[in-house]
Amino acid sequence: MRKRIGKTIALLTTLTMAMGMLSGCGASSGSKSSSGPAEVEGDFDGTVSIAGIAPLTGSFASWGEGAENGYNLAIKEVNEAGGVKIGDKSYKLESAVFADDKSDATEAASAYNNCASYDVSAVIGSCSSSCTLSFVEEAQASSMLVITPYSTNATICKTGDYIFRECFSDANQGPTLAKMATDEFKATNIAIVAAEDSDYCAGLAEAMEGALDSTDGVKYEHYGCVTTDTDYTAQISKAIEQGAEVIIYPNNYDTVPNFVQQARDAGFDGPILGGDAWDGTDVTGYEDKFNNCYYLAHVDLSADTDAVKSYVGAYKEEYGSDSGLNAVSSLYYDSIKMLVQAMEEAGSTDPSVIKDALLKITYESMGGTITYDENGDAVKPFTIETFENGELKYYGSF
Amino acid sequence: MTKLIQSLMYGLNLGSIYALTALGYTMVYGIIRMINFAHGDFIMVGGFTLFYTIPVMKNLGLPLWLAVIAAICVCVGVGVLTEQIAYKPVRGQGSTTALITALGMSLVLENGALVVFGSAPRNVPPMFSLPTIEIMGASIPGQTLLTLAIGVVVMIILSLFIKYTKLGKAMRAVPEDKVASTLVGINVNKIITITFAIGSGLAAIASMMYTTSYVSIKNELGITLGLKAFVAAVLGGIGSVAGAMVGGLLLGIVEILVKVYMLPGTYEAVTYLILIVVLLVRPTGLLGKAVSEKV
Repeated sequence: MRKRIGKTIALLTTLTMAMGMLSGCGASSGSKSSSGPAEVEGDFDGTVSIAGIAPLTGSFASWGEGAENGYNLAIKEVNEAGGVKIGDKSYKLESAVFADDKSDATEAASAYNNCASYDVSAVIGSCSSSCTLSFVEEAQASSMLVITPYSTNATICKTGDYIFRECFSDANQGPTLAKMATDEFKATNIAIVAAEDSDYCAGLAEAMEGALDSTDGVKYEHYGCVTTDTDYTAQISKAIEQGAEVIIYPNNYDTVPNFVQQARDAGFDGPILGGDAWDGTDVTGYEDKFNNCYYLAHVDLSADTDAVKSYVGAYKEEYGSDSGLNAVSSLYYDSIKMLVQAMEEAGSTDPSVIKDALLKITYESMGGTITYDENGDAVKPFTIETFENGELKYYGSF
Repeated sequence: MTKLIQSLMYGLNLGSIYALTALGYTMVYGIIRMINFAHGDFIMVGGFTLFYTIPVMKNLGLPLWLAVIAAICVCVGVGVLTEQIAYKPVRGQGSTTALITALGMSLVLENGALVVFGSAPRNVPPMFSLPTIEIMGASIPGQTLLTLAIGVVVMIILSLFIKYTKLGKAMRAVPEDKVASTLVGINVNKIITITFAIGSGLAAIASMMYTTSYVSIKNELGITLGLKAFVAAVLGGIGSVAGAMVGGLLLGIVEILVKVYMLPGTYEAVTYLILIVVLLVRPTGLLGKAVSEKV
């Protein structure tokens, strides 16, 4: 009897581990089929390696899918166009590894170590600011060039001169959100509900408050929450009590449906504003409640520009559907295209030379022109997206 | 005053979800003295069943609440299977083994759901569209009242069932003395399976209540909810049906009140500090009986 039980436990333990592995496998085998950018025939004089990091599993997995697709699509297109041209030589762009940070800062650090163990010219990643912050210091110390496509936390690029981003910084996003509330929606009474356990949410709220403090005649209150929360009724009823005309909710997309639904149910009909992490929000079933919600975005994928249309077309053709086709995917795509432009302008694949070229670059991304200020932080225009009965619509630019 | 009433209503809404979840813990613990950590994950399974069956009901033109019946069937199936495959073989091996098995089962369900459903959060479509009601200046969403009503009704039915039916009496007899129960003709294994079936059915109802208030679900849903409901069950006195109800409601109300009147961001620290103090004063929980273990 005892033996059988021992066996059962052993079996269960194995089963649990197997499931864990299986889930890991699901992601990596998925990446096998879609990843490994399609082989391109052609004559190259050598290869240039890069590596990528994104959350393929965990809370932010919706970003990871598109991220990996955008990353691979860009590599394929670069090679189809003849590779990275340095001087009179052309190099084939190769992905050494595309690592999963599992939406977790500790895992992100080991994903980075995995990337750094290869001989790569740059690392493209990751999504959430907490994840990216976990490895940028080490990257800077070992002179590894990092371009984060989607991490907006203000401190990231201040880490050093090897750290770049493809997106705007919260140092700009915060004041822009504040300006949107006060100028566009003429609010004088604002409520902010931001998660305190996330570098992104807390940093963005801080930048926003700094801007609101210096705006005359505006009153605001900040209510905290945590990223694992599902109940916001307390914060919302306090916001209503204070008479807020606008609520700013600068948190991640996975919590947005709960918040918006609860706010609308509590009788708040005013504008709800969010940051760029709203990208990927699922509105299915609650389309009407998302009317009068706005968020800052890096790019409008319904835009009628050649760059966006050709990207959307190529993505659908490559992957057969628009699954994962969100702003994050376009940012990974643009990160690589920008990196290649910088390499070609620098005439080198050496990170210490590329970084100087990046500082001087003017890159036309899908979301607008990117340049770098004297601190090495990206300057990029803001796009405002809104929902119209569940459909994502372009609202304006800042 | 309006603010207090409003907060209390929100607290009751959250609390009745905790309470119904805590009932699942308490039922199983009361009968076989085992903490079923996978219970929170049964709720996740119920949530995903609703996510997939509500659109089907809509397409077939059937009333949407029928999806709950599908959720109950799936949850009962998962619960009974879990009991038969994982828990039954280790019964009698001590509480540590049972606890570890339950934790393992919880991980199996969470990661299994990751494989089956993916990790993207999903919105469960609305099942009811209820108007918002004004009570003394406080606006109360209709589903809050519905959640409360369902919670109270389920708890009353369960209490009556355990107290007055033959099956309920047998359920109470098993934890008293397994051997004596067998002697008087109670099939202990059957009773335990039925307990799991009821507990899992409650999880399906809890998932319905959860998703009407918190529309977004993902595979990790059971972790926090399960943990908090477990705390609620202990607070009320684990093993006591009324205790689970009181513990759950109290936990929900305290959480919301701390958020409204103290710190919304660090409410968990404050909430659980209060609970630890309660347990220090009453180690068996609010309604728990101090039963000395039989040797």
